[in-house]
Amino acid sequence: MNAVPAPPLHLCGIEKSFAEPSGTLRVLDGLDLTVQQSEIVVLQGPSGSGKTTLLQIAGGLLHADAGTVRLCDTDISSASEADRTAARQRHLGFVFQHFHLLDALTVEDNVALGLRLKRQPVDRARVAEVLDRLGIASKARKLPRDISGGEKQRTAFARALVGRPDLLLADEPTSQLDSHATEAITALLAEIARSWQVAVLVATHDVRLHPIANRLCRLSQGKIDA
Amino acid sequence: MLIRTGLAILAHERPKYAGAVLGTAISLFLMLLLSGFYFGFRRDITIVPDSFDADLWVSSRPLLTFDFAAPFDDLAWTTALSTPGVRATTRVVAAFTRWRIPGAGGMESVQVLGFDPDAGVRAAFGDDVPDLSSRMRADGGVLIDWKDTRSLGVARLDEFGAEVGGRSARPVGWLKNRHLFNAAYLVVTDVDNARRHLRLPANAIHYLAVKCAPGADPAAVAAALRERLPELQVHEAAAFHDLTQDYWADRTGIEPMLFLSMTLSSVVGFMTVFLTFFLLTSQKLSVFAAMKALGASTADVGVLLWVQLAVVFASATALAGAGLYAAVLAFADTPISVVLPPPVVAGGIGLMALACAFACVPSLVKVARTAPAEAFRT
Repeated sequence: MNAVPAPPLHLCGIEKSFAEPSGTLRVLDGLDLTVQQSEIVVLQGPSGSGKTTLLQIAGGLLHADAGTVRLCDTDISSASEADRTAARQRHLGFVFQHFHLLDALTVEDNVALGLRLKRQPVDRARVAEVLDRLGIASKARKLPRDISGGEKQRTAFARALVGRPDLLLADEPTSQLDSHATEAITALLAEIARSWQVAVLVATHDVRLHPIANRLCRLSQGKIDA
Repeated sequence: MLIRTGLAILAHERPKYAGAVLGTAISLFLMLLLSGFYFGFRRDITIVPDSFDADLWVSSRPLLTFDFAAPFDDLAWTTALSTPGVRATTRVVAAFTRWRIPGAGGMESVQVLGFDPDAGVRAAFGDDVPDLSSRMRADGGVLIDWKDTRSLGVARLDEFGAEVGGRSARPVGWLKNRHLFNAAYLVVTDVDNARRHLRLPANAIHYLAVKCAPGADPAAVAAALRERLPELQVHEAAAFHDLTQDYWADRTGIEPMLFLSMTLSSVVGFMTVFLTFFLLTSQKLSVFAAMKALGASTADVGVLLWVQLAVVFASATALAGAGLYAAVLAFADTPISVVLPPPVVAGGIGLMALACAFACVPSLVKVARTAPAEAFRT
């Protein structure tokens, strides 16, 4: 009998507060969330509701005050910094609102950097394949300054996906894009999740991402209203 | 792992890093050139006594510096020669007087140095002049440095018309790199000619330069000379060198001035590298945070910074080296001496490397303290 694989992300009882001049601000209050393989979960909520905090905790970049964070089969809630970095390298891909590409590297080298940072050998064929799938193969030798915002975000997706992550965390991936680029990225996200069996957790205000979501989660009062 | 990435960033932002290279190169160039002046100055202070292969020096007392000695009777010469442990000794006359420029009639200050060229104490003046001894002994025969010919108004050997101390003099050979640190020019001749140019009595000398016999202990020979010449002062060569060097270093103030200049140029280099790296690192913090979020360790990002630093430093050193070579060539024909012993060059480069490394530390600390979560901020 085959064992059931652990979900890429499982959050249980997550609590997080921040000290503010006016007192303690409770951002996450016993939050539970599980994202399954190939599932796209869109996280929405007003500014300050804790979407980014949740992504940071899910990515092992921020410690929760209480609760458990499991990335596939690894519990990173109480892991050391080195173990959390290793778990990120094994299981995670990040896409940031502001892309954070290295201006000095070509599109293809930015993507290859994703492999280097994961301590994986730089497989140029794999890089070319990912660029092709994301529709930016013709831009491979271009520098970020020479491509559009949409192409930059595709490059950021390629960098996150080239290492075959189990879970993709994306923070406002369309906020810097025009509607045409947003449409293209949205379609791409759906296609990637399905064909590459990647779980995707997206924090966004953008309603144009809703149609591709398997699940819409609204963050309110530190909890998820499914 | 990120060496190529570091180099790519460097190439991409070359105008910014070129500023760091230029600043570091200028600092290194200045530091080494000023060191060259400093060591050139220190060498030239004692270039005359250091050119004698003497173990001991005998002078009148008290003596403040080689350049200002009172004369004494050269009867001491025979006494010194008969002292056990003495292999050879030469009489030395050294004092300042005036040189009359041929034709123009203008005057320049000169230091006349006279000694016995065949006395058995080797002296590195005009080694390559053929028949040196008889040329120096010829009436009015003098050696001057080839760098000083224009200032002293002579263009060729045996040119007539010059006067030293009111007596006719003619150049019979050229010295090489025997230039004084002060405004006077060195004129070398034999001891009798020197006495005449300086209007000294026929038995007057300023020094005895003494060479000890092989195996003789210079300290023991010095003690024996002190016993036989109680009215005179006997110096060991190293102490004699230090006496003159310390006197001029203290009196002129040039030493602290050059030292301060060297220090300030190092500080400028440090600040240039520090500010460049700190600002460039600050501009990229969000990217570094993103790299950390994607799996890079602080050490990975540190390697990236160190690679850039190494390239900046190597380029700056090459540039400074080329500049220094050009400067040394340019100063070769001037009275200014640039002396750069290899340990000084290595020390200067090492010091600048250390300054660059320290300048990079705040950037590394900033990177180390940057949390990967910073990548989520704008």
